[in-house]
Amino acid sequence: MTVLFILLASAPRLASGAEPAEPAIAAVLSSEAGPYREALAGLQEELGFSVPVFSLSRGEPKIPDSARIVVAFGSKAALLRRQDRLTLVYAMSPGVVIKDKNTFEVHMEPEASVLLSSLKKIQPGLKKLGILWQSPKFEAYLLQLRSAAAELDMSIEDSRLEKTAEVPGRLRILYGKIDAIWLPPDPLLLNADNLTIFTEFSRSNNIPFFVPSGGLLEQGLASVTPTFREIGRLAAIAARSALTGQNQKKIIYPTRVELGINKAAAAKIGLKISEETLRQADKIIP
Amino acid sequence: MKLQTKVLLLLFPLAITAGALILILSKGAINDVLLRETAERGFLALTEISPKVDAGMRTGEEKTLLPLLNSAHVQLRALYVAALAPDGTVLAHTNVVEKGRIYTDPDTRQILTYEKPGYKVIDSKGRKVLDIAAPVWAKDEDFLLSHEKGGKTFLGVLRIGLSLENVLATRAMILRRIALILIATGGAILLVILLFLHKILFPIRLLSDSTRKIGEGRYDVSVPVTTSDEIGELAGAFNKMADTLEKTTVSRNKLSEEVVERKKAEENLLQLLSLHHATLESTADGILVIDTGGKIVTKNRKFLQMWRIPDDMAASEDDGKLLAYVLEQLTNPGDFTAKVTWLYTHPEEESFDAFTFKDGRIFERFSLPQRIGTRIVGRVWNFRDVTERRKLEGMLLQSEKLSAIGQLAAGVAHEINNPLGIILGFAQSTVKHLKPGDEALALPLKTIEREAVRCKNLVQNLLVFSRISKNERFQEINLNDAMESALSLISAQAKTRNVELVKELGAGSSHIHADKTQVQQILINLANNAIDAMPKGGTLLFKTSLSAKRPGYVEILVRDTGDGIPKAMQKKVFEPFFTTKEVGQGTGLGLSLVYEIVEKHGGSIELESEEGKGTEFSVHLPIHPAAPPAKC
Repeated sequence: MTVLFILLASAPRLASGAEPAEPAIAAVLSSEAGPYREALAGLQEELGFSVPVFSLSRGEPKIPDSARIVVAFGSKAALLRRQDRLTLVYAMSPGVVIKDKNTFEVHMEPEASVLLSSLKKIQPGLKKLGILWQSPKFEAYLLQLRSAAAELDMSIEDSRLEKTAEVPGRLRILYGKIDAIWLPPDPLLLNADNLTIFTEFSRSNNIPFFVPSGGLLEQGLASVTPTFREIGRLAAIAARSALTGQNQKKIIYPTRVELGINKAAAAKIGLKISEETLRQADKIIP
Repeated sequence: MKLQTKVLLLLFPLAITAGALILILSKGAINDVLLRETAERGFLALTEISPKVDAGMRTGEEKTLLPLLNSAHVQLRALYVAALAPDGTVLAHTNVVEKGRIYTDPDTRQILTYEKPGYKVIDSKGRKVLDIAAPVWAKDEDFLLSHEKGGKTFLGVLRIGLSLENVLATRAMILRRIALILIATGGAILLVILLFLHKILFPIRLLSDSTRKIGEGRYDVSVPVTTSDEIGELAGAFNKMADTLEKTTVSRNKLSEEVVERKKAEENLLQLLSLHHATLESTADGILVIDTGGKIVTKNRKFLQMWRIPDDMAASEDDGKLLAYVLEQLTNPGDFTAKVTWLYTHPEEESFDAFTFKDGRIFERFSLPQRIGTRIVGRVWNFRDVTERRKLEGMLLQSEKLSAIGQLAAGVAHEINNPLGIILGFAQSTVKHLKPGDEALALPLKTIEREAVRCKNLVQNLLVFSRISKNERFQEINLNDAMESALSLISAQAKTRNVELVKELGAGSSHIHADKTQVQQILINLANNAIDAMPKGGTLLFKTSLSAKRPGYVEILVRDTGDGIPKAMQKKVFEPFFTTKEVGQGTGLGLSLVYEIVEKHGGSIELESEEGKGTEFSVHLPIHPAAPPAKC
């Protein structure tokens, strides 16, 4: 329905001739899942025209010859073999690392200073933020986090895991040393068992737990994440820059974030969130 | 209080008490059921995971146990799920921080002794928690079957904590519903009871209303007989009673009129009685009412006062004693009783007579029969004290007599005075011309002269007596001065007769309005009589004072210690020419002259005398001029 709306919304632009006669950008979705569709809507909205869209759930995509940029949403789409002539802009693929000069990646993690300042709004007393991570790709982001934390008079207490089973033990190590814990969108770490462990750790020990997605807000205290539409919009900007040959960063971090707050969880762990922050929140679980 | 209200007051507390009991019992039962049901869910979850925890419990590996615990945790939305070693060491816990700790609290020690699954409500961080535990045995042994630990391998305990918030909320919700149901049911039952009571009480209310109407005097009422039960019978009996009352009872209005008339008659009677009493008591006469049997019916206070009947005697109502007391006071009781006796035999007669008391009082008695219609029921006696009236009548008679005598004496004296003057003149002239040797003529002539002088004095006295009213000269005088002046005239005579004059002149009695000469004449005449009454000497007292008996008067008291005047003569001493002195010693005009002067001054003179002890004249004269007597 959303897709249909966006396609209809873009129709005037097509009629006006804004869309190139031969499409230069194509989009590939790992599946028909809602988040990909939302990101696609953001992409097309930002581009101002429709692009050929291929879903891997419908089979092998046939990228048009005219296409010079492929925007992939999801890991499967990002890892799809492609012609060398094509520039790849991929997003929503947290575990994927593609080392190629013609690739640009839009991360799910918010820009570090944005993330930390948002967390500070929710928990003004936050000084030590605990982070468990496993994916090697996260290392670069961690550096940014540490730098941003220093500017905000904070510190990052991180612990890299070799195996998922290490989560309980590492949490025990962090216990007593941190004011809150943030779970990054690390696909190696993010599963139901771990989520339960984090949630119980937070609830039982009154330690705020920041989840990596608004969809997981019920399990934690708050989420500071970009919307999928924002991811799509950033992907569109990257694709347009690539198409015009402008210089740009290989890794793009979202700066527009959506704030979600679980008031019930805050009440359970005894954290009072200011009214101003609550007014700024995009999503609230009462 | 109405019966309906009483029933309500009885049933309402009963309903409240019953409702409260039901709620209390329900609360316990619901609690048990909900806890058991919750615990069953916990047991089921533990039953599901217990076969899988064998290895983990044996090795104590968290990574093996935790997913299982988490699955139960998610499934049951538990507060915690834990696996404990037999010594209380936490092998795994949904709160990973707890791993490795050793629980030694009493609750944990208790559940480590469980032979089979059990539960208990505990307080955890201020919340009610259902703490469910199940022992874990080695895998080759049957779980949940009760066995002695001996011979089996006890691996530890699985423990689940379930929040009772929902259970308590559910219990509260159920109790609320039960309470609502109870209230609704109780209300409905009360309503039914009230309606039933209303139906039962309706005919009774009708009976009550109708009874009230009968009470108000309205007998034309009846109540409908709608049932054949006892109330219906009561209604029928009531209708019959109302019918009977209507036929036999005087109407209320008529009764009211009679009551009004009766009250009016009573008021009239009271008015008459009041009038009768007031009249009886206000009259100056003594009233006595006797019935035909001779018994006293009533008497007024005046009667008791006049007859000087003591209060105790009046209160005793002893008629015989009273009559004896009355008769005792009379000079002639026989006449008194004879009159009464005669009237008993002549009840139709009226009577009038007078009788005298031993103390000198005189009562007039008048009686007439008391009638009711034509029937004689008694006699009314009226007694009037006429002592003073009789006395005044006597005095009036005396005064009239004196006046007549005065006029007669004046005429006689006037006629005698001229020839007497000639006789005396010739006699004195002849006596002057007597020469020595005329001794034979001297004695008769001197005797004629002396007796002529005496006659002339007598005539002069008569003329003075008759001219008192013509020579009056009233003015304000000093009584004491007049007294002193008069006494100086008689002091020599008193001394000669060996009489001592004693004066007691009151200071407040000095000035009166009177003719000084006449007042002195009173004193001199009284003094001459007193001195004559004491031939052997004595004491003569003159005393002036303000009268204690008669306010506005002075009293002149002249008392001697002479022979006194016999009682029979006391009434005559003021009559002209009455004298006890020897012939030639007195004219008999002295006291009558005193009496006349006192009368002319508006005063009075009284005499008290006792033979052998003396006599006392008491003269009362007004201080101010007396009002002229009313002309008839």
